[in-house]
Amino acid sequence: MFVVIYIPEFFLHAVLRAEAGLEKRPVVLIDAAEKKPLVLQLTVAARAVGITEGMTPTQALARSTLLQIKPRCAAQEKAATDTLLQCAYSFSPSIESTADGVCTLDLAGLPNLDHEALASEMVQRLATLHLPAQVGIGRNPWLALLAARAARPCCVIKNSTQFLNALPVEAIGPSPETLAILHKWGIHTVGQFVALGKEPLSTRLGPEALALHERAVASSTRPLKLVRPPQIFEETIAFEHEIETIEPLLFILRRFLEQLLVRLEMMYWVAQELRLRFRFESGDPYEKTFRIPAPTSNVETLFRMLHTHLETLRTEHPIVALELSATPGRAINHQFGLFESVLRDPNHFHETLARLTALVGAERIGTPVNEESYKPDAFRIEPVSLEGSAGFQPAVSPTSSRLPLQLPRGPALLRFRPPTPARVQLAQGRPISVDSDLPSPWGCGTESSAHRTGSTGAGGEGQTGNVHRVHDARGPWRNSGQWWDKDQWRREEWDVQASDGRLYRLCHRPDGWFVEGVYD
Amino acid sequence: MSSIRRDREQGDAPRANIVQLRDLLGQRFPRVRMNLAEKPPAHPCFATGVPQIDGLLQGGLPKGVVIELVSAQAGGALTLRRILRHAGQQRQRVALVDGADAFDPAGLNNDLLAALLWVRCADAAQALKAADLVLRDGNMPLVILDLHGNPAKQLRKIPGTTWYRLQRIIEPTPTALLVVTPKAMVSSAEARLSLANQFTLQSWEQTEAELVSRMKFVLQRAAATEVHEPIAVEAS
Repeated sequence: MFVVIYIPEFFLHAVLRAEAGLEKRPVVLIDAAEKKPLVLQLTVAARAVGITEGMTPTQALARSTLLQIKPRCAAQEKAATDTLLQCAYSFSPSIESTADGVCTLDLAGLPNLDHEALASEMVQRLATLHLPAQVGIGRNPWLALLAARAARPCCVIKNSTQFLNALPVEAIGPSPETLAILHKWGIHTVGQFVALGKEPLSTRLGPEALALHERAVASSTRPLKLVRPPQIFEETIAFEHEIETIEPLLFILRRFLEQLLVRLEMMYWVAQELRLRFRFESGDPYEKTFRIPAPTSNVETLFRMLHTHLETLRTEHPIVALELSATPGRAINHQFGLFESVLRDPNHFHETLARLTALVGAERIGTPVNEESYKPDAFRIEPVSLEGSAGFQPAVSPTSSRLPLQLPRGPALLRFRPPTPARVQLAQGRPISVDSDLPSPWGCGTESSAHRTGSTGAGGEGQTGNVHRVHDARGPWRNSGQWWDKDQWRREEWDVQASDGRLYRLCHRPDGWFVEGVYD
Repeated sequence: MSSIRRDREQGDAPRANIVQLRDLLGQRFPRVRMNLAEKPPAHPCFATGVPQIDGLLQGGLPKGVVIELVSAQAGGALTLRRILRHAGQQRQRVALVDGADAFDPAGLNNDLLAALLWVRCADAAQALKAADLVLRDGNMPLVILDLHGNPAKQLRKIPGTTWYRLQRIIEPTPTALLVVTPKAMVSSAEARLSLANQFTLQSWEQTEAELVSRMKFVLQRAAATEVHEPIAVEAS
């Protein structure tokens, strides 16, 4: 048995499926590339107001002020064709892309199926992809195609002779001249045509009649030109009016995302990566790739990812075209370990990281990695590993050889970034007082000021900050590096115990004295 | 007889209401004990590797609640470094929301930092927003909100309701929240630990482990462990 999926007004529906609710409004499709564009296809609502194929857009607009005129879009037609083939492939591995909007499936080798249920399932599945389909099932491809064209929306041919006899003669595709002759003879159905006989028809109407008779009998079959559906999952739209706000964009993105995920699911894939492309009014493109930490087909998760990004996106020009594509991948199944910290929901974590990045900036969130340098505070921020234990080094224990044998000595440093400038009085090369506007609560105007007994008066005239006597100091610890390039640095460090009872790290650089932090 | 019955009926109605209210509160706030005889539920804990904290909190930082560590003088940064070292060794993810961008990663090697999410905030308000996002995520077993380097002016601007909001966010999650502050300010904290330490230049003679073991932690408030008097613990 063969199945034909037929999408009537395919080019029109390829365009309409990008926007919700258009199929119920008067909409016509034109080919904008033509010199004099004419109406090619139209919706039922447009036909109801008197518009027909072949009219000019002006004539069509004269019949309805609510009419929307849409141009053909090759990218959308390709996306619709891919969708149709992918859907067909989910039912049978033997599929043929017969024509635009027509796909033939061979059910040979498949287990005994309930043909009516199969046809209605096909229609439903394509309806979720916004393609109104008609499905016909017959014993050969031609019969199935005839059934599909006649289906409302499903038709399973059980008695082919009875089915063919009832068909109008136009269904077998005679030329207009032959059709006119047949109508003059009073031949209106395929049954009447076949009853005339093969030889009398060929004698009177010539070779065309033989081909028509063969189609009318529908006794011969043909091998299908098998194709495999492309692994391309892409939806696109060119906006009639430029998009300036996020809401309409989100609306269309969600629709696209739902369609892409249904298509992926039909092929037993999940989304591994999403690629969002815009074209601005200025002609500039914009592209953003979203790597999905845990490949998924969950609409909400993926939509939140897009939403979070778009919330922070600011563009100079409005958007005129949008494209969303998904890279297929397999879902990752892994077992959680007992002694390792695996992210419960990597996708949610990825989204949280995106929100945090929007809040504090990309360079201020991540995992710190100490640089191999003696320069103080030399580290870089790397993106957080989203993989479970795979992202980590093997577990380390206090006795592991990976760790230095001795743990660091002394208290931890609480850094002031940037270091606070200070005025330091020296006696015999050693600091004896420090005057600095330290950030509160380490400086003035805080509760900690109670500890700063006797600190004032130790500084010299003109000192405006917090003056601390230095009770004890260790240093200098001299250090330098990168003398071979322009980033050369040289410094002298002192650890001092100030009169407020705290330990500070002082640093003397060519540009002056600084308080680098407090030992806490 | 009828008046006695009426009295009983009138007495039963409020009692039923109280039972109903207690049930409702029990469902809404599962962590709240309805009477003193009831034993506090055992919650999974995040072991910090600081013996004093783990001892005072009976195993570590309980998940789903807020714990405040008040570091008025010194010791807060060292405690944090110790916790991060222990978490790194245990391959546990930790989020450090750094309110003053004051954390010094040089104290830990890169292996131990691999599991750390460091959010370097510009001020306390931004740190609270970041903490809100990280807590809602629920992927991190421990979130540390370090505000003890922030100016008092910023800390005074934090509304008191913020802490209850964070508490409500964290309640259903398997996350422990440790807030490090320069003075007691987290009203919703289930337990409050206070540090009273001072370092000297001689502290450099001691290792991190020795310094931590000499630090004095005072348990000022603990809902789960009926503390009437502050308990001070020093590791032996």
